[in-house]
Amino acid sequence: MCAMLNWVNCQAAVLRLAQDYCDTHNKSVRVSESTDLIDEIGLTSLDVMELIESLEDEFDIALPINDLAEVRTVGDLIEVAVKAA
Amino acid sequence: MSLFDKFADVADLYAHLTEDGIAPVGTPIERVLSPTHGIVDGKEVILAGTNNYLGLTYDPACIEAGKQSLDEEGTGTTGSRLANGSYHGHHALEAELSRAFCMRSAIVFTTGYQANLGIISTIVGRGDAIVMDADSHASIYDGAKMSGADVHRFRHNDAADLAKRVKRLKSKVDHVLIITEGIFSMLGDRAPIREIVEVKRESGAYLMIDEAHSFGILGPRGLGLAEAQGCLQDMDFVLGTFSKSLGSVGGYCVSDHEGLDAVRHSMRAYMFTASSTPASIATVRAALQVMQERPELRAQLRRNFERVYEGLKNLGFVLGPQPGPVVAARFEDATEALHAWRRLLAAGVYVNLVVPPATPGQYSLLRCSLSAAHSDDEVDRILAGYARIQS
Repeated sequence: MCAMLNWVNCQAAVLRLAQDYCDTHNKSVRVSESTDLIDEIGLTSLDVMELIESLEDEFDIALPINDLAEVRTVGDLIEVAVKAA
Repeated sequence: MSLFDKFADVADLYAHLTEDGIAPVGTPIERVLSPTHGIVDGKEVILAGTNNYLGLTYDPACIEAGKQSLDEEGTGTTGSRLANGSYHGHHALEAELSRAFCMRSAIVFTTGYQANLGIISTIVGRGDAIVMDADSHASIYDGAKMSGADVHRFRHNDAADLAKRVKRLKSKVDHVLIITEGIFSMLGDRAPIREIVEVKRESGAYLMIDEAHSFGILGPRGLGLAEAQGCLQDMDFVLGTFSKSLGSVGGYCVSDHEGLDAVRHSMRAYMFTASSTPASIATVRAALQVMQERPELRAQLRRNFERVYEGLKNLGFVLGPQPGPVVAARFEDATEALHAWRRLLAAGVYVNLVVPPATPGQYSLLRCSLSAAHSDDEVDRILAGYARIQS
């Protein structure tokens, strides 16, 4: 059963997923909403796809890649995911 | 800040690739001698990176058809298909493709890129969704982006992931278009098309397959992966190119949907570009006939690619998951791949060097494409060249 998505649990999920990525890739980044996914965390396009997929699975949502073009920060991603729910 | 600053990274990469010699990207082929030989960097080499799968670029019947067309119809149409650019040959080729695929309609495009761009960007739009393989060709990505539909990717060749994504979308959009390829251009692997057909059947989605690298190669009549897997009738749209197996230039879409013919009057990539030259169309028609009449070319190509795949595997290269006309050896490091490419060229074998972001994942590839025209001796020499870069 997937969780219903709202701003609070989406924020928590994105922060957790991004922080997990940093920890497993030995990146000393403390993730916040203003953290840049590419420049600060260093996500590749494949990593971004996996992050999105984890988010989609967790909340049973579908995020079109058209909406991801302007996503730079963790906060941007939360906003797009909440909008898609 | 200059208009060109944003290209600095690409310029740096290109400079790095060319600092020790001839460019591995956009390599000048100074002269082509045959389907399998050319002059590169002043030296005769075996061409094993030209997608000339059936080796038809020098087929006498194709050359004669092109010459005759030049003499009789001139050098170009000077107009688009909807204006003055639809000659007898364009219509005849569409009828021949319809017959070959046993489908109602066919549309011929000036390039394969335009076929994907035109069809995808036109048949779906706002309110619809596209679910495409993540490793799809750039022309599919571009068409999807231009369509206005919501675009979703599924994990490469993962039908279960596709099913999950289509299920999520089902009640939220008007139509879902699933897009995959027959043989994928970089690794030479094949789509699990029967499993994808199951997803289409269960969901009521439309299904499009791009057979650019499988047309002329797979299937009893060479029509591609869908024919080979016995599910051609489940394809809503089959797209492909004439620039690989048929040794010319152009693209096509065939479909059994009655509505396809009307689509041509709405496709900007079809309406606002010059049509194929009459000579190109003539060579394609001749090559299509050769492809249908000479299945032994497919058999020879298969023998060649199976030999190279097994040979490279035995040499210890990391390859794609299955033998195919594209045999790609994987390198973790782009500089290492570049050095290997140069050593291979020095050994008299030209292949393609492909580096990120054009490759799936973050690795680089030496991408070899085989031809039915490669002789046993040439295949031996290709393998010997690879052995040299491993030594």
